[in-house]
Amino acid sequence: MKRKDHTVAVHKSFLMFLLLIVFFAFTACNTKGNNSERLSSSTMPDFQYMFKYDGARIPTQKSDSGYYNIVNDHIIFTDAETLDSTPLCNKTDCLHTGDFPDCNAKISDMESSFDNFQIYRDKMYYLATKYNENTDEVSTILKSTSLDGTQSDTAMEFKDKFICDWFIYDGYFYYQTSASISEENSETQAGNYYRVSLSDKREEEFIDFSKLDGIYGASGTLRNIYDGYMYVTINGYENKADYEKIIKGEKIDGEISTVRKIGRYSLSDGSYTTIDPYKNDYEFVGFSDEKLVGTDTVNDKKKVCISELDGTNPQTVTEINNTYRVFCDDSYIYVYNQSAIDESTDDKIISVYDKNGEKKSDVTVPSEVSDVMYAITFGDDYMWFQKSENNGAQVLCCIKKSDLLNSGKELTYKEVYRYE
Amino acid sequence: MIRYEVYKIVKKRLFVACFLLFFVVNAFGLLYFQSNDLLADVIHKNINEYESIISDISKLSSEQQYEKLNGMLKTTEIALELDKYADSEDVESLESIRQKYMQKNPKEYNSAQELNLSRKELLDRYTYLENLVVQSRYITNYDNFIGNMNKRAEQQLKFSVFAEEGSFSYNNIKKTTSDFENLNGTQLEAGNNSAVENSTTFVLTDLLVFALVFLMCIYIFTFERDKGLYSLIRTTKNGRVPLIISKLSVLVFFTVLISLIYYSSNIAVCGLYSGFGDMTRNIQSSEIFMNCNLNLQIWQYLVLWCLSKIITMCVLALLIALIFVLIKNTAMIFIVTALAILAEGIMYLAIGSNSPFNQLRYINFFYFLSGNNIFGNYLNVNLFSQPVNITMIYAIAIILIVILSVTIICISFVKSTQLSRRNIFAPMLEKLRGKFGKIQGSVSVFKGECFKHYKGSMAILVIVFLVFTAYLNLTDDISIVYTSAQESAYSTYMDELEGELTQEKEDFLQKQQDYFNGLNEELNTISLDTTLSAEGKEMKIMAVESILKTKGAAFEEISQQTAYIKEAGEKYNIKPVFVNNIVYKRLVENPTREWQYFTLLMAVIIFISSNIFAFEHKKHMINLIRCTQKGKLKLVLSKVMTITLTTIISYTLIYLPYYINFIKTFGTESFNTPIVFMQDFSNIGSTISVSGMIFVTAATHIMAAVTVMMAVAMFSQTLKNNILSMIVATVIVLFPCLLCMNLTDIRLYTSFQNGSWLWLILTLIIVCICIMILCFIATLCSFSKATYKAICRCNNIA
Repeated sequence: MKRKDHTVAVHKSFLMFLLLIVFFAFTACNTKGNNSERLSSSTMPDFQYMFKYDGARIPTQKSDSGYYNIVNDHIIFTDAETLDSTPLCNKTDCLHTGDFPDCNAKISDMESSFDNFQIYRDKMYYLATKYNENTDEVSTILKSTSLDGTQSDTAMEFKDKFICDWFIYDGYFYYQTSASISEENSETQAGNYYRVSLSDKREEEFIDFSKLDGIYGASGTLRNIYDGYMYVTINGYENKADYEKIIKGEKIDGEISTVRKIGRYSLSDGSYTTIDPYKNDYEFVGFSDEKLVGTDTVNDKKKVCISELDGTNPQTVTEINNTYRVFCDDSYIYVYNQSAIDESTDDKIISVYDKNGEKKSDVTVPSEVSDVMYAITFGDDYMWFQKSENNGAQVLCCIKKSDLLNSGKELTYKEVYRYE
Repeated sequence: MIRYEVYKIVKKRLFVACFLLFFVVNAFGLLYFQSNDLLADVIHKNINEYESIISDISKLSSEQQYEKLNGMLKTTEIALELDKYADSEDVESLESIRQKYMQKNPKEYNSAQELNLSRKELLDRYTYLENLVVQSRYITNYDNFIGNMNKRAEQQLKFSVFAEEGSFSYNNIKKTTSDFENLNGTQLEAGNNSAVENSTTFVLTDLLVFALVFLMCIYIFTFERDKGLYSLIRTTKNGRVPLIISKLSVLVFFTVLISLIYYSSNIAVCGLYSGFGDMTRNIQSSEIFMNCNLNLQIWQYLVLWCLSKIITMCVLALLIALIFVLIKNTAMIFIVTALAILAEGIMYLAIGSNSPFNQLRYINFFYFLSGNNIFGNYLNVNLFSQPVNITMIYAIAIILIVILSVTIICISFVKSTQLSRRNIFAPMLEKLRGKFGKIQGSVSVFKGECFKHYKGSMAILVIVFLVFTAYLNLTDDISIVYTSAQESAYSTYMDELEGELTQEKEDFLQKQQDYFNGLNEELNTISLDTTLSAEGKEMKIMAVESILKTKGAAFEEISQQTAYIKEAGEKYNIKPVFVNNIVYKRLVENPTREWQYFTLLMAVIIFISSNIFAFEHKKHMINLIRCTQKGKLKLVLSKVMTITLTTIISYTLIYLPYYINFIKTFGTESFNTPIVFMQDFSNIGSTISVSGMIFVTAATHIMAAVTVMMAVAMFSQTLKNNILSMIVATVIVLFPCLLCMNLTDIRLYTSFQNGSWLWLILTLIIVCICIMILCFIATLCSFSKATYKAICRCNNIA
């Protein structure tokens, strides 16, 4: 009996020891979200600022091996070197059309929005909407997919929250609610930013636009994320009386005192600075080699300016017509000679300038490209756009940026993927 | 021993009755399902023409077939159009159509002229020809699909995301290509695929066969246990192992027999209804089997499919037998089985195909039984980065389960006692019951029945559970969270406008209309203003447009609603009233809540009523209680009153909290408003109010609930066993409720919407009353063991 008791005790101890090892093994696998150490092997930044442009309609992200786009609810992978593309589905017996509901490339529940896609630390994230008939609840789900499309999972779920913009940065999911929440639900105010830790799911308010001084009815639109800061275009009214009339639906005599500023929020402590180097309505364009590019419009002239990332030390690069569109990347500034609202009948040209304002080239834009120019995703080495054909086919195309330096020639583009 | 076990099953009238009843239900269900499928129904009605077209085109190549079928389809389309215009007496349009087709499709036009068919026949012809055209197009593309498999694989392997050697993607691509190689050069033919498609996708059969398997397990394993006969039969000459082997053999034998009959009858019913077609064609001739990598003919596939169903059911039977042998308490068996099914169901439905835990979805009986998943759909599951085909997983899982379950069953049966045990909660419950006092002295029959029902049959636990859910429903936040700014603006308007349309409200609407007209003018002004910069214009336009898109769109909706309520008011000669559509749609048009609550009520009624008569039969007290002073009728009435009381309490606890919560949240502003003022109910054909509709619906639900209660009470008396009563009632009542949850046509509120509510509800109530009366009489006769002849004899003597 004594011997049996001893054996049982030894077995129990061994079992406890095994359990402890398993416990430590699991805890060791747990990664903390808000650790600033880069955990993925990718060389891409947490937020791929080069693909976020005002008006860009082609969701594009990049990994070390290639580009990811969404075409007709399918994820398309394009090799960065060969520009060959394939739907992100490893099933050889799948034709990636609507007749194949289990296609890995298909995202059927994705919220239809142009910025609803981000690669963060070796995973793709997007928002999906789920309507629960039983409880009449609408849930927004943050889904993650592996870079080869074989595994997908739910990262987070939000009940009765309507998210109009979001991004992930340094272990946090930041989101902006749309301006339609019930007045009774005062916890989540419309248009403000909140952030949720990816590791412990703790949520906190990040930006309350109503607290901005000097701007009434302020709302913010995310423009970009760069080097630990988020850049937001803030719209509102300088005159409180104007704002109150607007919300009551009353007519305003004379000019409405609308105002537009660039706001810069630190993603570490939420501190705010206004970027307004010329004390005017400064427009955000993008980033160029660790500088901020913006435009300042006076009468019918638009100054293209480069400044430090906080808006100080602005330098004018060039002056252009106030209706022209401006893009930038780490190397050059690009000016497109057409207005978003009213296209002229002149030749459609993209002019390339270096940071000293010296024009490098003028390239003619073909009509298929000019038709979609204001929806183009500017990108890094390639610009991306999509065209629809008469037979219903969606065609993903790209333009090599270096072709923009072939002065005097017409721009050419490559058809990367065709979805019939 | 085997003969005895067989005799035990075959001798049970309930088993035979269920077998026959479920067979009929299955056959009729399949016929109903097919008659509701447009294509199957059309083929059924035009089988000769359909088969003749198929045989005509069978000699042609796939491209020729496609061309010919397209031509025939076009001919039918032209004939239909000409027929439509000929009917409408619009001579001009008819002539222009004629000219159009004479120029564009002269050949088909001439053929259409020769077609001498009625409109119905033309429509049917169009339907089955369209199906043949789709088949033909698919067959033409199939060669490319298979032929280009290698090419697609090479293309995929060029990409770094798939090309990493040793990764699942890489291995999957390689494996898929080799697995489909045997299909190169396969010849497909268009034909009649209805039989194979419909018979292999019908779900009800699995539920019915499972119910019969469960019933068999009850007879095989619990029959002797409940009667305490195990102590006797386990002392067999050759030991206990032959006994358990004989039980398992009989279980498997009958499972095989039942599955074979049911599944092959499905194929027969479908074939007889819409034709078998040429069964020697390759299975891939049917598009739903496009991803099947087996080189089989249709009939071979059906044999394989049947075999897989039989094997899966046998394995399920062994698993159920395992539960029966391991757990000695009947109620716990039921609970554990239900929980196991629930767990499997949740894993199957909730886990996505790409989830990291997708193995739990695929290694799952729901997956094995659903449709053509095992052999009809090629799939590789990721197991440690290796692609393992689902057929292989299925085979391994089945073998492992069989070996394990048989071993554990035998060991458990031989080693452990098989005496019935009370569950672990019983002593605790007894103690609790004792605290609430025992019956002292004599009581009234009704009080006695209540005591037995609430305490003995645990109906009180159900009531407690329902009180808990009622509390949750009562305190649930049902306030509206708007899905868009437009909805929010609509609600703001409704705060002003809800109720009768007065002159004041008309003036308000006019003012708002003027305001929005002004905003539209301002938009024009801004866009023509040349002094503004592009960004400035954009800003101002955006500011105005944001108001138009939200408040403006909401006002547009209000305007349409105003026009509608005025029209409705005129039609029914009542004052127009605004109803908040967003709020009241929740109250009267929630399809899922309607069936969810009703299904829950049915489940509760089945649980509480199944033991009302069976209780005394189980305790062998039936002959004691039947000799009451005032006769058996009073006793039966007391029992029925008891369960009716519980039914009404259950109904109240399930339905009422939501209405109270609704009133608390939204008030009763529009409760007396005629529901015809909601546009969805424009065809209602009466001025019944919102509260009237709720009352009528409630009355129907209560009537149905009491009818089901009476039917379950009848089962309880005739079957003398509460578990059996629950099973039969579940199959007859609960399964249809679960199936109807997805059918939007089968809803009470739909009948209000299409105006057929009056006759439907009256019919339902009359049918319910008839069933109730029949069930009551049957129960009474059975309880008092009076036969019809005996009653007549008594009357004659009297």
